Amino acid sequence: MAPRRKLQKVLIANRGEIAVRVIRALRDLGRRSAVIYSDPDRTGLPVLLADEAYRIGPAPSRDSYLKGEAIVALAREIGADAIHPGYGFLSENAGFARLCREAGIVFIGPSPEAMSAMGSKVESRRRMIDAGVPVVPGGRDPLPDVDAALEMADRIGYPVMLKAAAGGGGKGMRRVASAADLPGAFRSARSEALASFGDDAVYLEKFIDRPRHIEIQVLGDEHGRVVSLGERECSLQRRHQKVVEEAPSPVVTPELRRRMGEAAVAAAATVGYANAGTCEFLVDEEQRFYFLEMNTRLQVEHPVTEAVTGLDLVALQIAIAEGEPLPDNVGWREPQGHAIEVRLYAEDPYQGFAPSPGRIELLRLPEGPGVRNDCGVYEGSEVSIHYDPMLAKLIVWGADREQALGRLGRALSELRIEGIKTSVPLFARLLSEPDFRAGKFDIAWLDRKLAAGELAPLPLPELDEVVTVAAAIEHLETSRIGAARVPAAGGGRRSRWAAAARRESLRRGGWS
Amino acid sequence: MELIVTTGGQSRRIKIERRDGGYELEIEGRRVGVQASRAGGLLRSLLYDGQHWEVAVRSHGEGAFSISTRGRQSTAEVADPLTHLARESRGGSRGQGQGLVKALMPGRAVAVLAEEGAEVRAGQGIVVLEAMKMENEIRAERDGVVKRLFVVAGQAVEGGDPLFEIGDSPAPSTP
Repeated sequence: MAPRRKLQKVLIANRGEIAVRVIRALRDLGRRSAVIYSDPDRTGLPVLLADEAYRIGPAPSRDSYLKGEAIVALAREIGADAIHPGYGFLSENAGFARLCREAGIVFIGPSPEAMSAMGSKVESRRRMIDAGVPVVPGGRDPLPDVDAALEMADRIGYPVMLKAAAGGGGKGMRRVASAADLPGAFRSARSEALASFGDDAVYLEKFIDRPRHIEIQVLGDEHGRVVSLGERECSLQRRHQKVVEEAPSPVVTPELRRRMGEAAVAAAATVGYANAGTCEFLVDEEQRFYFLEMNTRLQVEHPVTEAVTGLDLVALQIAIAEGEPLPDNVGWREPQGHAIEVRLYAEDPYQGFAPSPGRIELLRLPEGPGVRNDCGVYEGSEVSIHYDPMLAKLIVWGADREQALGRLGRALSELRIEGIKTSVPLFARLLSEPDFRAGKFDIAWLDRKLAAGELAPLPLPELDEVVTVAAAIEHLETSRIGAARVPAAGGGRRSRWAAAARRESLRRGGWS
Repeated sequence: MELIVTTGGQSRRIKIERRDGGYELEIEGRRVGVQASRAGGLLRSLLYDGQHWEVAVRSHGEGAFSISTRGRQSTAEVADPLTHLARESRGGSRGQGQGLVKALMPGRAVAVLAEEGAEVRAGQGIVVLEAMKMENEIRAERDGVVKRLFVVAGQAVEGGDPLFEIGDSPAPSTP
């Protein structure tokens, strides 16, 4: 048997819902959980649920959740065997993983070498090409002249996209449909790049029309086995931020799933990847797929994979970190049923997604068949301005996509959050969009719909009258002119309940 | 009791009385019976017109309420007819493009886009606030001039702190 190291105590270097998620996995396994917290997170849900909690610093992330050396020193001081980085913060920081290694603390994630190899866009692209993983055809090298551009475009096929090497934000970008248009487009892309970035270098890539973002979850153990756990559909994004994720993808066939899974496994294996990771791909309408990058950590949207595989990814991360081989039954199975996740952000979708911090005055999470909540807040907790506005994730599972959509609608109707604005009304609205219900969307669909104002709330004709009635009653019952309080439902029934409860508590000597 | 309730940009004169442990209301000439119960915290349960409405009500004092139901957020102002009249004659109720604009949330002013004395139009960005890792342009709610700026770039603000005040443009001098 290979040497095993049992992780008795794990320090969680994160906050919010993902810290709660890791605490849950540790407690399932009977291990001890320790969390770090910044000042505003002192009474956050992770602190309330963990076995141990340690102050790491003031609110700003750079003084708290990003203080790698202090976190590793704390882990040593409290006798933690390992650190789980969650996602974000230090999770993809190879230097932090190296610090852990040097301190004799297990980093629950891939090796710093694998992280570095995947962290560089240029190096990872080169390695993927070497490993036979498809990447977006073209080259990152600046094109010296029109002839070089024509030659490359000819090789990869039209349409192509010219991009400014120093670019971003669409400046210096030109879609070119044919060789006849290329010389003109090349010149104008160059001058635009020069004007915008002071650098006229441009390169050329295959243009992919309305692609979908589909990613493959992989797991690798320290014994060289890497498996695919299938895909997640993540095309519903607002400004490149995922909003809704599902598994399986409505467009991925078993054959495409197998091919993408093989590519992802090859990508991970080529850097000696161990632990959980995700290969992101663009998929075009002809079901061609292109590797984008690998996320060398647990993803926010991992629960949809858990729902359709029946696996606990965090528990598997811990087992892998302990040196266990992956169980034989993990990997290469078709997804069971369908899962959808929506991310609950403290943002007002109808005020330009303005952040909405504040106190959560009321929180009722949905329950019932097929519903899971990964929530990092509670009623009464404060949503701080200092961190990512994602509060919670709602995940539903159904035997098929239709049942999952039905359950999502039901769960959203039960969910209530008051005191802050959230993205919940947008999800309810999405459910009445035919394209969403039919699974017909690409990575720019949501931004297009929002820009066109097509996701405004549906009219509710009775709304003004209901609001008028509610306001009038509240005013009557709370103003000095009115009586003291709203009467109970069903006339005097409540007072009889109250009287009975009072008698009971007097009898038992409890609080009234 | 007679009340004026303003919501959704419309004021309605209604009558409300207690009846049989519930209420009877007269809205736009129609009489409706309503059963209302507190359902814990902010929640109210309204039974009316054959439907159930779960409504969250927050009072801001002086008859101002935030009310949400079925994913919609509304505001309402309630006043007796005399108070309503007095408010109207003072010119402009609350929602109508305030001059003084306050920070709705704590954050940091990262940029100030107008100077004191500058003529601005409703909708023009005046201050950029950063909160929750996002930048938000805080805009003038009415035409006028920037009477006062309460923040400089880089300054931290608390929720409720004044950011700027828009005053009336000086009347064009008649020659």
